[in-house]
Amino acid sequence: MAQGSYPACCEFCPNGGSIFGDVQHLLEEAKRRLALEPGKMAAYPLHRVDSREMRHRIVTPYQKHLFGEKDGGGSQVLILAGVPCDKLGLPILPDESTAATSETIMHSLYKGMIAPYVVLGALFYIVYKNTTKQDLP
Amino acid sequence: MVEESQSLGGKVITKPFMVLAALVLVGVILMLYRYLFGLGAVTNLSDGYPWGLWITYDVLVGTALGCGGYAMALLVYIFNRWEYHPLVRSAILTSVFGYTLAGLAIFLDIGRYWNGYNLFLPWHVNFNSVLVEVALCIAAYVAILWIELAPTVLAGHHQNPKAREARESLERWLPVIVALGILLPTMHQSSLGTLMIIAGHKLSPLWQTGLLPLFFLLSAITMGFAVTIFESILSSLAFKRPFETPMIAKVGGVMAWIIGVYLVIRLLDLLVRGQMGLIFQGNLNSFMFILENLCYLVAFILMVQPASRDQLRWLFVASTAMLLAGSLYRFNAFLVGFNPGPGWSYFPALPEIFITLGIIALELMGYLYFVKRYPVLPKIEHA
Repeated sequence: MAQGSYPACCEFCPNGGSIFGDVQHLLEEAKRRLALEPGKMAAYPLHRVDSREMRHRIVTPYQKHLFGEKDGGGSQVLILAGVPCDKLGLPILPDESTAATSETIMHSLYKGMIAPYVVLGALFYIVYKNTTKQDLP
Repeated sequence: MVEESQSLGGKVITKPFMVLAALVLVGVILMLYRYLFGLGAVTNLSDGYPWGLWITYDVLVGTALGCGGYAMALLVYIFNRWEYHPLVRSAILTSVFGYTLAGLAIFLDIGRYWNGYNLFLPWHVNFNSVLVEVALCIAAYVAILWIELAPTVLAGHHQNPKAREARESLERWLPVIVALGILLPTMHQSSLGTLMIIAGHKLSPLWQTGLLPLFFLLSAITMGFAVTIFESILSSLAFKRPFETPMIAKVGGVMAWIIGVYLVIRLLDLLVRGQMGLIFQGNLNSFMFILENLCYLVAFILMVQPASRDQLRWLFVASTAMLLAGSLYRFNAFLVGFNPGPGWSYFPALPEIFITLGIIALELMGYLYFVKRYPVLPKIEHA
C-alpha cells in the first residue's frame, strides 16, 4: 500500500466492477452509479475510483441499497448489486455497529465509575448494619 | 468466639488425591508445551473461533461454579439470613479455587502472554473495552476471595497469638471486604454476557439479546446456589458426615424463585423479539436450546415444591440439573450458537481438553487439602 499498490482484484478487473479508492470518493461514485438511468450509456472508471481510464457501456439497473454505507455501522467496503445483498450471502445488519452497542452499555453502567461506587456504598451500609446487629461467631 | 466450623483431619494424600495429581501433571506438561510451541500446537483455535474450550469452560463455567461464595454472601449479608452462615466458608473455598484458576487460565489463552502485564498499567488500557472490565474485576475479586478465606486459614492456627491478632483485625474490615465481594461478581458476571453482544449476527438470535448481561448474572447466582448444595451433599457423602438437609433444601427454595424469574424473562425476551420459531427448527441450535431450558425447568420444578426438595435425592438431581443448565447456557452462548461464517469449525483438541481436566483436578486437590487441614465445613452437632 505504501508503494502505491492496491488489491489485485481491483488491479485486474477489466470492467470497473471492483474499484479501489478513498471511502468518501467511493461513496460519491456509488451514489453517481445509483442515480444513472438504466438503458443509457455511461462511463465507469477502471481499477481506481480516481482513474482516467474509463469504460463506456449501457447502464444496467442496481438494487437501491448501497451495502456498507450504513450496514453494521458502515464499512470500508461498499457493495452495489443487481440482486438483493442477502442473496449474495451478505449478512443483514442493523445500522448501529455491535461494538457501539456494547460500548454504550459499558459507558452507561460505568461512566466515571459513579454507579459502581454508589452500589458499593449501599452494599457496605447494608452489610455493616447486618453484621453489627449479629453476635458474630 | 464460638467456632461453628471444624477441620476434618485425616490423611491428605489418598488414592483419589494421587489420581488427581497425575491429571495435574499431564496438564502441566501440556501447558509447558503450549508455552514453548504456541497456541496452534495444542489447540484447535482459529481466527474464526478465537475463544474455545478454555474460555468457555475454565473462565465462563469455572467462575460461575465459583459463584457459591457470591450467592451465599448475598443471602447472608445482604438479605440478613444468618441461618445459612455455616455454609459460607465452604462456598468461599470453592469460589477461591474456581476464580483463581479461571484467572490463571486466561494467561494460557492469551497468545502474546508476555504482553499481559499491560492490563495492570492504566495508561495502556482501553477503558471502553468490556474485556478489560471483566479481566480487572476478576483479578480484583480473586484477591478479595483470598482475603475472605484468610480468617479460615488463620483460625486453623489459633494457638498462634499472631494469627489470632491478624484474624481479629481482618474481621473489623469484614463489611468492606464483603461489600466488594458482592459488587465485583455482579459487575463481571454481567459483563461476561456483554462480551457476546459485540458478536452481533454471528450469535444465533436464540442467545443474542440485549439482555445477555442480565441472563449471565442470574444464571451465575443460581449456579452459585446450586454448587453450594451440590458440594454440601457430595462432601457429606465423601467424608461420611451427616447431611445438611433442612438448610440446603431452604437454599434450594430461594434458588427456585430466581430460576423462575429467569425463565419467564428468557421466554418473554424471545417472544418480544419474535424468535420463538427458531426453537422448533430441528437443528443443533434448537436442540441445544431445548436441552438447556429443560435442565432449567427440571431444576425449577424439583426445587419449587417442598415435597421434592426436602428429599436429598431430588435435591441432588435438581442442583445437578441447575449446574448443567447454567453450563449449557454458557457453552451455547459462546460456542454452539456462535457461527463466524462459512469455512470455520471448532472442536477442542485433545491437549486442550487435558489441560482443562488438569485445572479441574487441581481445584479438587486444593479443596480436599483445605477441608482436611482447616476449619471449613460446619461443625457436627453432637446431641
